[in-house]
Amino acid sequence: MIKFDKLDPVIHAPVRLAIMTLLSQVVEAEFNYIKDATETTDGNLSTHLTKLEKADFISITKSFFGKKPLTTCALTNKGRNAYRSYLQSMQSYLKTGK
Amino acid sequence: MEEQIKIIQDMLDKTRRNFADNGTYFIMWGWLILTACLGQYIFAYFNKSEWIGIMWITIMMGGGIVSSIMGLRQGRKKGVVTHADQTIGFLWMACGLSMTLIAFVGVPIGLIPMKALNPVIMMNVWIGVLVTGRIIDWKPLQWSALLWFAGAIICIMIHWHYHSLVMAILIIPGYIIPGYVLRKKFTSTVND
Repeated sequence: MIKFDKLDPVIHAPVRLAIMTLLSQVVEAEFNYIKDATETTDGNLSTHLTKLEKADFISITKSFFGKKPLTTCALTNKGRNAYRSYLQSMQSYLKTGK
Repeated sequence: MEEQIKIIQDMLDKTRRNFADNGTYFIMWGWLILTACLGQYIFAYFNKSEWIGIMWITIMMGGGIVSSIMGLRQGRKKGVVTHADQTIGFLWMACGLSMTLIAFVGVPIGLIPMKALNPVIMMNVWIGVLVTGRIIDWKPLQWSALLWFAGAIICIMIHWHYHSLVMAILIIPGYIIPGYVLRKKFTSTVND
């Protein structure tokens, strides 16, 4: 039987799963875009992005567009593989659950 | 587990919305090329052919610079760069480079005869429009790509003096109209 602990806990949290899903579909996305899409707050999003960055699942780039600071996030190869594994584990779990 | 599946579905729906093209490049390049084609015909008509090359270089370079700035600004404004955006960007960069090489190197050194220029350019454009239509999954653009292919065949059959006029006519249904329809479609998607 497949257990929950097979699902990566770094990705499994709802906000982080939303971030990973979003980033898996795009080349890169900015902080405010992710914030709007995940419907979360600045502080909450920052915390989750830091956790994902520490796990080396995403890369965060800080830059400026004119005078406006920009924080851009993108999935790393490690993150992409981890997200794929997470989806596979989830599929296995669902099949077993039926 | 149901919560996780719902999150994944929601996020996929939200990112899918950004795959829509806003038509800006089609509109801008459409009007620029229409102007250049008419200019080419008028210069040729009044025996001022020496101005044709300068006019095309100015328009293509100006359009290239404006496109690059717009691309950067749009990406920042949208807050996201999708794989579709990036692929379409690379596709048109490749098409643009090929067309520039053909027109400004191939023709001047005599590798490509002037009378073959417009049909060759149209063959390039047809690939760009067709693949863009496929990437954004919009059938009308794929159909309008066929117009470019037909235009290239028509140009092979008629005197090359009229090639720029054929291109000027084609640019309206092949670029400008799809551009405005895409913009309308994009605006209504964003406002949903």
